[in-house]
Amino acid sequence: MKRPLSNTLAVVVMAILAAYFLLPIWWALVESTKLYAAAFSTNPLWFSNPTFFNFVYAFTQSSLLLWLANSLIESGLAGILGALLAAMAGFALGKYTFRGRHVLTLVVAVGLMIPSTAIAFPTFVLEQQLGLVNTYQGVIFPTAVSAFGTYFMTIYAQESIPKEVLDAARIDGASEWQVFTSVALRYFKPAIVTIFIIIFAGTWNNYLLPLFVLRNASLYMLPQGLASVLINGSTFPNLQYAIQLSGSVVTILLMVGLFIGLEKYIEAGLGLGAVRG
Amino acid sequence: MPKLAHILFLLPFFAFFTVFIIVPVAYTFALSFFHAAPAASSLFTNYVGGAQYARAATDQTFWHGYESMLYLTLLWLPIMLVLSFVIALFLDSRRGKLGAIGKVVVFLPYGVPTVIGTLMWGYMYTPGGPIYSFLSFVHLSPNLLAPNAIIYAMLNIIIWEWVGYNVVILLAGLNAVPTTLYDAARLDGASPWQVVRHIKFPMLKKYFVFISMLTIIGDQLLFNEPFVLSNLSSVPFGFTPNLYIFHVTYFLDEFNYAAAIAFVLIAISLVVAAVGVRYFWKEN
Repeated sequence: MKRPLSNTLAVVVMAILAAYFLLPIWWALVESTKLYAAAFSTNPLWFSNPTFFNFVYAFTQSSLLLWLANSLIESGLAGILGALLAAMAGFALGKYTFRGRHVLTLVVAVGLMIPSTAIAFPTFVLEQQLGLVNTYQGVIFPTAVSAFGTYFMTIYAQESIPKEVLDAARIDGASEWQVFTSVALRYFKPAIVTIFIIIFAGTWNNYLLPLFVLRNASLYMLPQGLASVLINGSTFPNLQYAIQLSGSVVTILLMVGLFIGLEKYIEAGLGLGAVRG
Repeated sequence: MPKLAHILFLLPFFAFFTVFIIVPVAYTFALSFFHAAPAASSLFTNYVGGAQYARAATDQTFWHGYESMLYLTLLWLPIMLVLSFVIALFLDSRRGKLGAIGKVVVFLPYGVPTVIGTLMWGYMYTPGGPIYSFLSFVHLSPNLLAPNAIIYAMLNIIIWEWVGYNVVILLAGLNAVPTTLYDAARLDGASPWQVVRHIKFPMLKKYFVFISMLTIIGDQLLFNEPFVLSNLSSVPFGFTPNLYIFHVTYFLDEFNYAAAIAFVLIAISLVVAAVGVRYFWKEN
């Protein structure tokens, strides 16, 4: 009876691994409901006099809400801009034949291999010249440029948009722009969601570029804000504690919601090898 | 004018691509041939040829960091591959509710921004935190934030962050295995272990190469984890190239030298990626 034994073993190993993956999230959730004074004297993995104090304290007494808003706005705008740029370019590369198409496809492929963190410093130096330091655009523009997005859209256009439908619209007298907006975009919708999420998550998680580009604490994005609290230390350790834990928990809950809600779009991108920024 | 339409579609993306990818890379390359004084009005003063690269080649801090990073990769890569393969096989064999929940659970850490993941683990490592308590309970040296243990502290964090991502990639690979292969194996009376060894493993080979490529490049580019940890512990400022670039820029105020290191980093990433991508596309 070898099978049932190995089966039980597999389930036990997987249960331990699941506990490992959930551990920090559970820890943050539990600790965020404790007062700073009790945090280190109670069991770190179980509740003790749970309270929402940290959340109220951090959101009313610090820039946490502002950082959260900055993160949402910048990631959202980068995602929308990036998905549109990629859809347009992907449509042209995937559905038109013209001279130079192969060269451009190659350029996109090379771009795919340049990791965004490797050019954070060069981007910053350039942005100093362009006057983009300390602006939202300084983060939005570079993170919106997704070679992966264009690559993904090109393949998507080739495989999922039937040529006959486009031609039918042309025969009806639609301009190329109308063909794109009224026909192609309809087919692109799931791909746009995928690329939006990938760019959104990349911007939302990005730390190095904002660290270089955003100097003014009122412009910080959430990860940068939370790290700055740690780096600068605080004369109010209980406020620092409240900011970091409630900030972490809110961020995690938002991302978890996004991930679970949009799982199938994310997987579509991962299958083709999306790289997190 | 249908002949020009495609240009209008291409223009926005490639304009952004030029300004925010091509120009920064070229600009860095150009900067790396100068050595401007810290307060100089332009970074393009005092042309020094390849001197910054010669300096990088003999920079102990940079290469010590690179060495410890390669050691980290050596530890990280096999653990990552084995762990994600085992989990993917398990989840692939449970297509029901358990499999779906399992997938969400392993994927969750990927959704946590790395800065926040590092903060959480960092606090769990400190005395009074659950990891510290657990390690002293099993009579291991409990302080993962000690200078000689920091590499393992980091190893744990990156495994936690990335395994789920790799599992999802491998699951997609397993999904793509034609079912006729399984049917044939069953007719031949193959054991589950033989199916794993002779069908699943070979079919996933290109995905393993892909994951390895991402892991090797990702390791070179580590910044968030060591930077955040450096505030809780002592992490050498040359620990990863990006950490060193940040240090050289901010604390030494040597933009030209930082540019040279950044360019080396871009070149290495490109080479690794080119090798991996070539292999991946050939297999497809």
